[in-house]
Amino acid sequence: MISPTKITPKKLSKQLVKKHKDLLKNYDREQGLLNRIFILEEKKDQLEHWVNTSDEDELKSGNIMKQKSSVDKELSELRDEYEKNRGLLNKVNAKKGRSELESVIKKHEEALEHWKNKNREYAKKKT
Amino acid sequence: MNEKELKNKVNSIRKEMEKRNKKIDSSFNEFNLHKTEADKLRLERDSLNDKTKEDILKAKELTEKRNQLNNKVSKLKKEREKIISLMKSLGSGITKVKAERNEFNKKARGNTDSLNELYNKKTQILLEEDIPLTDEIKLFDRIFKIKERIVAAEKADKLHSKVVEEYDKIKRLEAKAHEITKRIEFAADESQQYHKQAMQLYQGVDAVRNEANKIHQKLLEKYKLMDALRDKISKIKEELTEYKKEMDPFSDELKSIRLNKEEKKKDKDAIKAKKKLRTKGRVNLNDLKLLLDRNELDLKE
Repeated sequence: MISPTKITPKKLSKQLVKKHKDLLKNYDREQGLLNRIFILEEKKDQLEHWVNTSDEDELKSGNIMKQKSSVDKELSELRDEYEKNRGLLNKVNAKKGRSELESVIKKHEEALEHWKNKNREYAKKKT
Repeated sequence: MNEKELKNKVNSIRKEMEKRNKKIDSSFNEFNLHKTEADKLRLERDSLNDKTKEDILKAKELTEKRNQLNNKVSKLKKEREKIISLMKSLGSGITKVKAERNEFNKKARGNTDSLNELYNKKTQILLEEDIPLTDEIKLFDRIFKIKERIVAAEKADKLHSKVVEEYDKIKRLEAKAHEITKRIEFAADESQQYHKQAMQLYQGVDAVRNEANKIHQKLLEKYKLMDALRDKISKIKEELTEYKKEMDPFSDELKSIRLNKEEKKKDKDAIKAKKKLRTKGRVNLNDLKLLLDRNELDLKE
């Protein structure tokens, strides 16, 4: 943290630019995770549908069940990682999270732009 | 003048001379009495004058000590005045600095610690929390307002430290001034004591000097009396000389008459003694002596 005696609008705006860049980096990563979770959830729904609609022979072949098991495992790992990242305790609802995250990312992009502009202004003022 | 007249004359002069001799004796007695008293007065006066000199010397020593102490007091007072003036200047400096500090305190509206805490809290929220841009903008401005307050608080702190420092200086100067005051009081008391002692001596000297002057006047009066007596005695002595001069011729003449008379008587006595020796064949010792003295007796006979 910058000490109050050394702080300047230029320095603080620079810090804010860094903050938003870091947040966006995290949110991008989060968005990637959520996208993957979303795809896997869709795949899981599809596989569950196949499990409910397939005959015993098809199920016995084990192909669908293997895929479902693999999807479940990957989903569990991704949710853990997501929770670890965000520190959330609730179960992730990927659909809701994705739209919220998009809005959040947009706001941070706007904020980043604002502070970048401010930083440039302060740099000009200084010169 | 016959013998009787001469005798009367000589006796009359002698009487006058005796009268004068008595006067001289009486005057000498009187003179000696005055002289004894004058000697006593002189001794008394000289002793008082000696005492006056001694006391004046002592009083001078005391006034010298008093003056030295007074000089010391003056120097100390000057030193104290400098300190007091410095204290006043520091005091007015402090008033100015305090006014300045109060202005900064008004701007700061809080102490440095609490403002730093507030700054850290707000900066942490701004830089670490995910908050809307509008809140960030508000916080951004707020942080710089807090910074201004911190700067003001730090200035107030610095000025406060300066005030405390100046107060400490004043306290130290106050202690020094107090110590000097004690020294002044001590020296002034000592000087006052010397002054009183000197004044007492001077008063005593005046009294002694007056007494000595009185005695001196008495002595002068005595000298006048003695001079008058001396003149009187001289005059009487002159008179005596005159009387003696007057008496001497009469006295010589009388003596001559008496000698003649005596010679004649001796002649007669010698004739008688010679006669007695012839008739009786012996004389008494007085007659014998008379005859021998006048060579009237031939021892061969």
